[in-house]
Amino acid sequence: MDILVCMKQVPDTETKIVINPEGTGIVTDGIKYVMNPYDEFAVEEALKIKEKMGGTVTIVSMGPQRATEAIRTALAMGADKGVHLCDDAFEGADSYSTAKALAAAIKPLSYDIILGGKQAVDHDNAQVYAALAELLDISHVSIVTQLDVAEDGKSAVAQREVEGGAREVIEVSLPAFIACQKGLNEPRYASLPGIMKAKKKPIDVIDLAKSGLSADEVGEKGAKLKIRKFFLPPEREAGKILEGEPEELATQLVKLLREEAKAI
Amino acid sequence: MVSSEGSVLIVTEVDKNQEILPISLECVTAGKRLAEALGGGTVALIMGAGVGEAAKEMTHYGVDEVCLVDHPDLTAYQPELYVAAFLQVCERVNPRAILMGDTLTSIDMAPRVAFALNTGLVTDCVAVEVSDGEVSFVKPVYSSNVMAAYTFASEPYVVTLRSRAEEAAERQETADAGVTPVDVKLDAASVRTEVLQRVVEEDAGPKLTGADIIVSGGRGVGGPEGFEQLKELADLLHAAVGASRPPCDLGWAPPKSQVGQTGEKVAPSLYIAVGISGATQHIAGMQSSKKIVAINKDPKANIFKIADYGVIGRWEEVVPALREAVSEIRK
Repeated sequence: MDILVCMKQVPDTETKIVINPEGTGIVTDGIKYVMNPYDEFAVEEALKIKEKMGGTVTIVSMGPQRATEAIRTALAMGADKGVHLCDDAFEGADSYSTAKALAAAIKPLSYDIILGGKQAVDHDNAQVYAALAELLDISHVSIVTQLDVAEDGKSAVAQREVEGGAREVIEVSLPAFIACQKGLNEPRYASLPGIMKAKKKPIDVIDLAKSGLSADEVGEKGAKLKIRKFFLPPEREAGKILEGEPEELATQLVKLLREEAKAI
Repeated sequence: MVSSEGSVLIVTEVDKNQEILPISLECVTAGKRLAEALGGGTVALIMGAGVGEAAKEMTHYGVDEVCLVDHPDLTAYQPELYVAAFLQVCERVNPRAILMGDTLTSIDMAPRVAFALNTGLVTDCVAVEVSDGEVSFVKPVYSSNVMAAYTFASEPYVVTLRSRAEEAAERQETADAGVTPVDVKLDAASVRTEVLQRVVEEDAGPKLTGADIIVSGGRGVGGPEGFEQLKELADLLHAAVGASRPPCDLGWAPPKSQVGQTGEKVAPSLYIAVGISGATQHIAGMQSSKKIVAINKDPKANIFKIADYGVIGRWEEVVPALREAVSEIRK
């Protein structure tokens, strides 16, 4: 199986995010970057499929130079090679221009299945995978919590979450994009030998020229959404603190919730 | 034939009993404001099989027109067919904006629709803002530490709206809008995904998204027994039960009850956090709640910084007392 994983490097969710003075983005200095947590499930699942069926796992990622670190992490987990879309022209992309660039990098590759996280935890858009599937003219299954690829590699059975607390068991013909949700697996840690080996694994860097796209189609220029401003959410202030005996507390709280908050 | 060219198209979803989802009525509220800014009307779209009654019901919510796509192949959501049907409706209506609820169905369909229409998409939108004729769409980014306001460089605007970001449109006795059936041509051969089985979770309690009240437990609750106690309190309040990440990882609560960065993002009228310390990732999922109650024995717990009512005490004592007090007022 030729297995692709779309992966994004994102700020660690523990990192303090500061908005830039222009209000158009964030201050990137001092941010700790990690592999998008949902993409870790995708890498793990790809490695499991490879272990079962054989084949290669290729990591496809778009991002600045620093994104190489996240690609190396995936290679250290056991992926075979990387494709890195890296060019200033790709900067400032929205989901639309991201999907365009990823599709350009993926089209020349041979693939039986593409995996990726259900969303990246920086912009939480949750749209690149389905847009990419639309561009590649393949199907996608979103929010997958279980996956079994058929022995012939032509189809897969996936479980996905659907509205109303239900799950669907879906048979999908391959190639397809599988958007991975927490619960699918437990991502492995990179081993020390894995980290050593990763250093020698190939990463193919694709710049704008190599992507075959024009500068107008990618990055900020190709984006359909424009950032008007970034701002801080209204701060919640600490309210009343109640102390005392449990019964007293309960009566007081219920009274407040009823009369002041009108919440019950 | 649909005449409301240049309007706001509002996707209406129904549950398995063909009842209109509250989120769709919330979309109507936002849609009407948006339509006013864009100078057009509102068109509600219902797609499915046997959804004629729901379409008729939808005429009572103040939209200008209801489009009905009733097709036997649209019984359950299926991406290829739904996207195909939707695009055919768009050709007819030629909307300037498309609003959908941020449901799992819309999340699945919206990116494909937006890309096929060569336009952008704002998901998880929490505010539709109109100022000086310019429309912007606000969504939380970076674990809800930042709000981003977007404008579109293309049309139609495609937006999925977070549950409870707007008040639901109210039902009116009179029905001003008409129902316009739209014929669509669907190709069953285009189907590449087949639903083999639908598994309904046994837990029939209220679901997190859209719940009016949520009782949520953290590591401090100590184990599955603690969650049973929270469930009793939740039942009394007709509330859903949520959890922070540790109880889900430890198997005390089902994974789908997780509220936070990597779980559900909720905005109920009342969120009761029990034994939750208030890690950033959890707060990201619940800080839009109207009122927050925190019950924790540690007065320094982070959760108290954002709680409207902070109860310092042992939950083992406070929760049973709270149950008593709630039963008392419910008598």
